[in-house]
Amino acid sequence: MGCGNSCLSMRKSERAVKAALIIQNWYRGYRARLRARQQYALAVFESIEYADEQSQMQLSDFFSFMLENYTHMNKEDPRDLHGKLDDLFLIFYKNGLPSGDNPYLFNGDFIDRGRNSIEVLMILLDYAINLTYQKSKTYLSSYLQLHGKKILQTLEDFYTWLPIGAIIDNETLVIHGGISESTDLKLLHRIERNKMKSVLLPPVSTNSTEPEKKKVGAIIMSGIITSKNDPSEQLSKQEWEQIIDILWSDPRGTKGCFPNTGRGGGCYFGPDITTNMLNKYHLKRIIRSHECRPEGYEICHNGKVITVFSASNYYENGSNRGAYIKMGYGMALKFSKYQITNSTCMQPLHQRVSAMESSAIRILKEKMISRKTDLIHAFQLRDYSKSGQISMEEFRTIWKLFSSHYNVQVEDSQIDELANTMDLNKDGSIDFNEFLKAFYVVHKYDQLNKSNTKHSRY
Amino acid sequence: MERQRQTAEVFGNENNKMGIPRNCEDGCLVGTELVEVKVAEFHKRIKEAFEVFDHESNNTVDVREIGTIVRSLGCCPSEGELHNLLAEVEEEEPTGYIRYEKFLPVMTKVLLEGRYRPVPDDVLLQAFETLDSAKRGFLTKEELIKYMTEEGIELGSSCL
Repeated sequence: MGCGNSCLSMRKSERAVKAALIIQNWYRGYRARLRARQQYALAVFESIEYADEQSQMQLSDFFSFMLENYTHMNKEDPRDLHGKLDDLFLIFYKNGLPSGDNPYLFNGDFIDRGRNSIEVLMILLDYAINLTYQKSKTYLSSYLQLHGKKILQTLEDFYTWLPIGAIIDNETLVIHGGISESTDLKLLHRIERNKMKSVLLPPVSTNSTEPEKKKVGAIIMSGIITSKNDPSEQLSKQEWEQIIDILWSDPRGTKGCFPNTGRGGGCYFGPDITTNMLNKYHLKRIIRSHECRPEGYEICHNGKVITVFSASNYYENGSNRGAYIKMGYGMALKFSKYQITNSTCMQPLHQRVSAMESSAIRILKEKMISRKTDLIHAFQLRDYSKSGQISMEEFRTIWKLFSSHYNVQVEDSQIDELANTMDLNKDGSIDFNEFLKAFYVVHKYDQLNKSNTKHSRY
Repeated sequence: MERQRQTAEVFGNENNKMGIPRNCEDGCLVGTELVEVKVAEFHKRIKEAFEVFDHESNNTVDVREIGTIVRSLGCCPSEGELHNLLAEVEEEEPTGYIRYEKFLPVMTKVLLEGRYRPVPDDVLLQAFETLDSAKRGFLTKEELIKYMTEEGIELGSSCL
């Protein structure tokens, strides 16, 4: 048995295996780095989106106030993001137009943020007999300034009558956000939903010693607008909270129910909450939306919770697919994914990731520039020695003043931790760059404190 | 002080000596100061990489993302090496999640010791050339798939 040839070929294939392994390893590393960059970009988009929601609240309050008290408004263009009309057309094209035999269920958020919000709304209204929509958080006011007060009023009323949830075939619960441990379907069924003008206007208590509302906008509003309404026109606090939970909650892997600090409303609910809820009402699953998913849909909580998101390329071209679900009685669920294709979607992965990244960095820059004067001002205010740096002592003093003035409880250990986190190069002081970077942290910290006091009912 | 404690965490158990590293880049001993700075920098990088996959903001990541996190930090472990690393950071009863408190010290050590370094570019080039027997300067997609799935450890065609 001559060794010569077989030895040679064995060595050759050994080398081939080694070479393949090296290339494999390198490739895995390459893809991982791309994936990490993708995640960073997505995190930026998501946090700006959720932070936006907070500031949108205040903006919306302001607009409502202006509308009530002034007849003329300057025209304002809505933010220029992608039109969701393409996705809608695609869905109708693939599945036929809505009809008695072909019912559709739209699970909320169909008009905010899109460039073609009004077109989408009009098309959906055209087929109103056969569509059931559900409410989502409504930023109706700011998007409809263009079209006159009367239309706005009608649409607002219409919006308040939209159903807040649906149960399909006695086994699937469809809601926009999620659930909480206290979600009560019977209560939600009973609620006179048209009393909920907007999630942004919490019910005013007749007892004025309630200091719970931390949102400045809400306090202004409750003094001026809702005082016109008598208590029977509003929801009870419990009803209002139930609806907020339904519209704003997100599923998470951790068991239990926690305040949703990302959004400032609703909660994070775990698989045990889902199981309890489904068992209580003899349901099989929950279908919800509210969160953008890279593949258009995602299944979690052991198959019991399905997230479906229908706006493809939501954050940026190539950021995500859209999806919808087809259901038939007794049939398994059918998922369909799609992506509105333009040339950018066909590019190789690293180019798509770069495009997403630059988009994320750009909007981050815009955010910072728009708040630049605030940031510089805040920094200078705390920089006593004008050295371009804040020492830890200065920081602690300022923070203590700040917290006592704004009635925010911050403990010493938290201040230290905050300062240490800001001091990135650990030299004992905070320079302007670190401050800018950390501003985000401070903002998050504030939300954390606010939510902790708001959700003391847990 | 806190920084010295971190250094001890990384080396203390191994050598019973504080602050004397075993391996370093140019093969000579460096002072503890330099190591502390390195450790701080590694901590920062590890924290950032971990956080971006921490979707629930509760200092845990899905165990399936650990490979991506480790690789995004510049390491190139094989699947087997990754498996061993996972064993070090998992809980006694696997929950499907890895906690930051467990991950940080292990990963810091990996970075300090320079484990799982990626191969230098010329070796990578050689590897390609080995498979490209006809010396064309490229590999077709089919050939690549064939090599990746038949030889070596399966990548899974979805990765391609």
